[in-house]
Amino acid sequence: MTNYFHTVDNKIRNMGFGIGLRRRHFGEIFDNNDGIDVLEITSENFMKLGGKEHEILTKVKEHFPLVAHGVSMSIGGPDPLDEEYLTELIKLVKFIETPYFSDHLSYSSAFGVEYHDLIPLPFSKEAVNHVVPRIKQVQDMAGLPFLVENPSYYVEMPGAEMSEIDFLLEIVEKADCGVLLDVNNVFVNASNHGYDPKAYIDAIPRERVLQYHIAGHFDEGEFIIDTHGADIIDEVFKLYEYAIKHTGPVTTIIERDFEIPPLSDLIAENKLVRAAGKRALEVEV
Amino acid sequence: MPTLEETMRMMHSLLRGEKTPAEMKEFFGTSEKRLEIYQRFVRNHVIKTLAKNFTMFRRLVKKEAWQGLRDEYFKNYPPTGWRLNDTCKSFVDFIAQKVREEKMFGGEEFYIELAQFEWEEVIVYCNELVIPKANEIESPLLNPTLSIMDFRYPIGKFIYFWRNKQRKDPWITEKEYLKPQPQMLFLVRHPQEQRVFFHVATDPLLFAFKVVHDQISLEDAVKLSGQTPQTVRKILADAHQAGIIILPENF
Repeated sequence: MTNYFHTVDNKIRNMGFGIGLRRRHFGEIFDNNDGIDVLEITSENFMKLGGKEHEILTKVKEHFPLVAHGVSMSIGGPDPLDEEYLTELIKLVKFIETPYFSDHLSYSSAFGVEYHDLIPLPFSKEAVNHVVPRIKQVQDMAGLPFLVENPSYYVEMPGAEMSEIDFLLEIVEKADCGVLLDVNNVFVNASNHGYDPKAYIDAIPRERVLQYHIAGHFDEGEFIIDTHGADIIDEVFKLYEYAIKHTGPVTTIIERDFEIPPLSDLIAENKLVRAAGKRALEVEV
Repeated sequence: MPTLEETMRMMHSLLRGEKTPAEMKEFFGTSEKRLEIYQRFVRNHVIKTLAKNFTMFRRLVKKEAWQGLRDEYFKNYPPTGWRLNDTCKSFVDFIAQKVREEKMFGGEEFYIELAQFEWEEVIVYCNELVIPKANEIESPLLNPTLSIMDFRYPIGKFIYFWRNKQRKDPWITEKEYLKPQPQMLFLVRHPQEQRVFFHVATDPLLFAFKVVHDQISLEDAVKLSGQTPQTVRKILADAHQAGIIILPENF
């Protein structure tokens, strides 16, 4: 069996700091990109498209290292993995020459119906046994390491036999894949489900984390919603610093999907993330 | 303890709106509010995509009718593809059924054609084919994203008024667009702009289309049309400018 996860070296593990490329910024990303070391694309926004998206992708890959992050693989879904989707995804990841690709540890379609949203899995042994071979399947098809992202969730599915972190770890160990650790999701889930976010981070073997996401959220009062529609708050920055202390430097991407600000604002926020990463690695005396 | 499939089936009923959060809160052991988040998100993905892709139709039929249509569509046409736009792929058929079988909008077929046009714009924009550049080809060719649509109603004229903020023109307010007036339209994703444009299929554009489609030489095109070589070149250049055909760099 090919061991994809262990092909990732330190250079790939730390490509620097960047943002998710959004349509609003297509026009200026080549002129205004101070401090952006790497770009993440949302895979589905570029798959099977021959127009503006193809044009931008062709150009952007000459200027930045790219990583691909998807939302529709439905790695935990009950239906067989969509072969047409995987074929198109693999075509894309090969085209952009990404060193790995990622999606969420959840499902987004079931019983032939697409939800276009991330639905949580129960933290059960049955779910572990269901997901692991599917991850191996996509890694084998792509010939690249696959990263699962810890998703945000608002309802803990019935049938849990383990904690959220144990569920994640059992899957990544058995599937031998990487983790895309979304620090905002750790914060959101810890707050919504009442656990210690630092203990969650401490439990993850440092070498499994190959990428970070950091983002803003919306506080509804009774719970927090992971909207990717606001600036990153101080508590999430602090949690990110804590995580970087644990894992060492790892590629970090700001995710912004709603209320997308001008590129200059994201560049400024990216500098804050970089500063937080740097602070985390300063030796304490 | 429910199996994975049982849990997913229960979630499916919630997400498809077959069960209410109140009915499901006991199974999931959580509050209605938390379950509502998922129900809302899944529904919103569909209705927002419909609203984005059928802007003119939505505004023309007014809020109340639109809300009824989108809710019924969500209920009866579950999305089946990973592309978000695919959530809309059955909307034209749905509207056709509403107009023809239920005589919605007075049974006026104009509404079906307007929905067809807007959906075709999405299809043309999303076409995965890459349009060759002038310096990559040796002979004229049709824009691979070209779509030709035959309408029984003056869709092109309606859109022209609508998008040019002339919605108070008597032609619109008096609903002249409901009078049949056959019209053929060319839709293309423009090679340079990478946006979708439509053109009424005028005689010169149809001629340019035929010349390139049938691979007629410039010499033969001049003979067939009885026009001067300069006029034929101008017709082809205009069609190239419109994005309907691609001419080689040295043409």
